[in-house]
Amino acid sequence: MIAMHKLVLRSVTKSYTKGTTVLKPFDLVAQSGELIVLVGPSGCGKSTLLKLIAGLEKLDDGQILLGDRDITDAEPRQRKIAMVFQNYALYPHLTVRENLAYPLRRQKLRMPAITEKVAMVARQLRLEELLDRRPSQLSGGQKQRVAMGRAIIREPDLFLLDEPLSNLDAALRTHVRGEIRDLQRRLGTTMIYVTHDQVEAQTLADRVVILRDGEVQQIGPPQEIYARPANIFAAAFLGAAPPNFLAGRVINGRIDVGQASLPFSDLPGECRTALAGREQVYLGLRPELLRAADDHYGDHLVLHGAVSSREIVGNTQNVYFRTDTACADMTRLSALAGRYLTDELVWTTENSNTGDTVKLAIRPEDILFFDAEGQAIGTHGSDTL
Amino acid sequence: MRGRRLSSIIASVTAHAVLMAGAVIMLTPFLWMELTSLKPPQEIFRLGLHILPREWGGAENYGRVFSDTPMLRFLLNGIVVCGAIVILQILIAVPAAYALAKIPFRGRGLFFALILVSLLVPIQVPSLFLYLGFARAGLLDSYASLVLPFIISAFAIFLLRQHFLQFPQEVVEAARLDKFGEFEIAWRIVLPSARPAIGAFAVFSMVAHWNDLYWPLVVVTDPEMATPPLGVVFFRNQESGSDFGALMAAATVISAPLIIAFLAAQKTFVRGLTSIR
Repeated sequence: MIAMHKLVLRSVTKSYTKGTTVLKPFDLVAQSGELIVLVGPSGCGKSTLLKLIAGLEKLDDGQILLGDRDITDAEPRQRKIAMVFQNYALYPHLTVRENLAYPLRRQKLRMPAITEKVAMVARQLRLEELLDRRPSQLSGGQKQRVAMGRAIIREPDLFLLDEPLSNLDAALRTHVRGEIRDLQRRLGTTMIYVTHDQVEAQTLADRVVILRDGEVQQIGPPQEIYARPANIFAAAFLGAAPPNFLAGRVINGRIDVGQASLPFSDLPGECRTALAGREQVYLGLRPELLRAADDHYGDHLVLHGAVSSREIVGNTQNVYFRTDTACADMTRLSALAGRYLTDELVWTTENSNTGDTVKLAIRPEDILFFDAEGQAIGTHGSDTL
Repeated sequence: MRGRRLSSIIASVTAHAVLMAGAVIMLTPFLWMELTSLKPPQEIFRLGLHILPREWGGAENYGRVFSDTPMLRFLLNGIVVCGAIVILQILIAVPAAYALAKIPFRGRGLFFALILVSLLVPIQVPSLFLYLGFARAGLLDSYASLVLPFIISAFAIFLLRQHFLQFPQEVVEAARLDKFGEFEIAWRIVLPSARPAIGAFAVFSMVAHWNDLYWPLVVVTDPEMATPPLGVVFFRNQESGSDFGALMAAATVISAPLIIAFLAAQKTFVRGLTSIR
């Protein structure tokens, strides 16, 4: 029942004039029915990649296969791909009904069949009341549903969604996100979803592809990237807030982090071997994995800090603090992380902590280790390709 | 509060006074033409300024226009020629403008530059070559010679390209994915959004070609093929040329279709013009 259409990209590259590379050789296999989220900051090449898959732009090199067909040089109309655009791209002078029906006329369907399909899709997406309106008379959320409807009505082999939620307000975004996921599960159609929002990536994706400057940073299920990011960029990108980064020095079978120290013997085995022989390392501490070290935390890394400010979000609070072990070279770290980082650390906690100082601990196995180039140490990263 | 209201009244009165002065300046010759067309010959040359005719010569003047000239034939020629020109201009300009706005191709900038340059070339420049060409082809005194030189309008291509540029690229891309061909996208998806521009252009082009005397004068000698302004010229030559009452009646007749059309479509026309950015 579910059509089997897997998407294969082999060494796809793209550059515009003047030798600016938009996409370095890109490989991806999206299994049939899989929902892949391409995520990265603006200008990372994710939208370009989508246009290449759709055939709206020509690739410089490489190969694209959909199902058992090589569509590298196929025209967009020959591809059986439907795309939902960021601004919805509805046909402005046509009613919702005509917007839905128009693509079907190209498929040489008879009028009764078209009417029936439009009614079915309208029911699925709750558009019945809106069928006779024009796009200019619709709200953002309604336009979004029409755009989805126009995509699914053609029963394509592949869905491409380009930041479909970015024009919606926050509450609606969460709701529509859920609807898109349900729809995709129900239809079982392979979907490539582009966003710059890491929450969308985490909640929707079977697998996430993190892109930076046209280069893949990591590919894997969101939980796996969260737990074992391939580099500082991936670590900072996926997660409510970027990890706290500290500088560490490897000396005589232990790591010194400012005043604190962590013996190798407390680390997982794979980490221990990978760390041996290095000097300078970066440690990444997820704010939500820190905990108050009131009790005895024998093997944990313990930090002492002076609280500078707090913000309360529902039942959690973000406690900002500074510590003498703070990392020195924030410029370098900011460059590696692709975002602005300060030497202020964060602790995300459900505790109603009010003190001026904090004493925090983290389990050694929760610590992320990176080398001086920002690449992960000791975590054999997930399928990076 | 009161001061502001007073100053806004003054501003409004001033604005309307300026507009009315402009209207008077533009309408006076026109009104003069109408009034002259209603006067008998002896009154036109009488000394002194009489605005309203003392004796009515209208019936005779208008009667002469229709009895001494094939005026209906002139009007028909005008409708055929201008209609053909405008329709062909749009048929050619829409795909051209669409390609220049929405399809990337090598040399697009050069093509567009050439079109802009051709905007600067008036019909007088190529008219000799066009005349020789039509003469060689035996097409003088034909609708073809009146219509063909104008079917490619650089202005229409330029105007529509600017409109099409504003049309969201994503909608075009969505249509491509929906299996539409480029011609269908141009005509059925993009063009409807440029309807006001098309309307405004059609009016401009219609007026320009309806009133054009230069080109019909070059290629037409047969009164059967004359457009309305050329018909008036023939009419003047046939007669002594001093019967201004009848001439003004002819001028009134040929400008009437445009005026009636404008009054009928006034609202649409103004909307079309003001929506051009």
